Amino acid sequence: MSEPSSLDDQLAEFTERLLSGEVPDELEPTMQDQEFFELQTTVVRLKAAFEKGQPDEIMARRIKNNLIAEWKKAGLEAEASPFPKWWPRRKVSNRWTAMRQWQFVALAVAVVAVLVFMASFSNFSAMPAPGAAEGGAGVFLPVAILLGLVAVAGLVWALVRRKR
Amino acid sequence: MIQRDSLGPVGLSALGDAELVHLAQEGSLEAFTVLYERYFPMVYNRVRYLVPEQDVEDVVQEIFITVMKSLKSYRGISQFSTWLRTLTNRRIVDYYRRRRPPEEEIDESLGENDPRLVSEKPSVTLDESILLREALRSLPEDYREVLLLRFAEGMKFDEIARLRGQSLEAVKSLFRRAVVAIRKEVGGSYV
Repeated sequence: MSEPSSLDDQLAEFTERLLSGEVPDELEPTMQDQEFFELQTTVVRLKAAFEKGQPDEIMARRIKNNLIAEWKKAGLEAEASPFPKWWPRRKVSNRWTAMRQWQFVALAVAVVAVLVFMASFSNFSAMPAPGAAEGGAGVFLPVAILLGLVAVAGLVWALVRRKR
Repeated sequence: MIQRDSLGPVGLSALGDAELVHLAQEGSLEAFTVLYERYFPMVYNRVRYLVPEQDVEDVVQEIFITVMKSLKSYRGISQFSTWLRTLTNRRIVDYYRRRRPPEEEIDESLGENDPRLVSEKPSVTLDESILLREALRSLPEDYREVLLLRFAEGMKFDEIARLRGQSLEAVKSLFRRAVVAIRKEVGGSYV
């Protein structure tokens, strides 16, 4: 910190010129500041040490193939969307968010099922009324039970997905 | 919104990091592959100066697998390249943590004239590479980082200043101190 800033500038300038090939790698000892000469020498050796060839293309390809296999193994491919095209799509930022989206759907189905069930139950209670149309509750009740089962299955599926 | 299906690998290469990350987060393997190809040299260069040669490939692969698995947690607060650099540095630290204590890095079976002992630059031997690696590892993180950015990644000082959010003067000063430190670290025998 107590060093003069000009030494910082000189060394930075020398490094830029050396790395762009404007300065030869072989330094001739001069009458200049000994400290600066030592720093220059260090930079020249660092350049040589860091210049050991380019990335190995075969290695790069091998790693790429392994990554592709790993990607497929991890099941990271885009899954076919279970939602219709008009469903508002948003960026899925993480697994938790994705899971919540499914839970939301399952919950919505469950709520609809409960409402249908309640409606059919009230129809069923009113059945003995004379003149009522036949078969109303008889259709609604199994449908409501079926929807309820679907909702429960949806929730279980969402939870299993979360644990995976 | 970018439609993944409408872009081939060539079209994807024209996209910025943020778009590619977004597509990869949505499950596009092609986007992830383009990111890999874009950043392989950076990661490789960083790893090979800090990790013994025989382990470079494994470490690089582990880094990209970590990227793949952590991609969904990346929220774009920092630049992707910065995030990747941090992740790379962490994996290198993990590598040394896992590794058994001092393992001999020069194979004793190598003869004096074995080509593996001499790198492409005649002046830089394998011994010197090991010295450099050990010296780099023992430097304070700031010093190591500025040297890696300048020499391994080829960034100019003004680019380093922008990346680190520092003034150009501060980066030049940091660089000089890093050079002094590495010289001291390896003594007169090397740099």
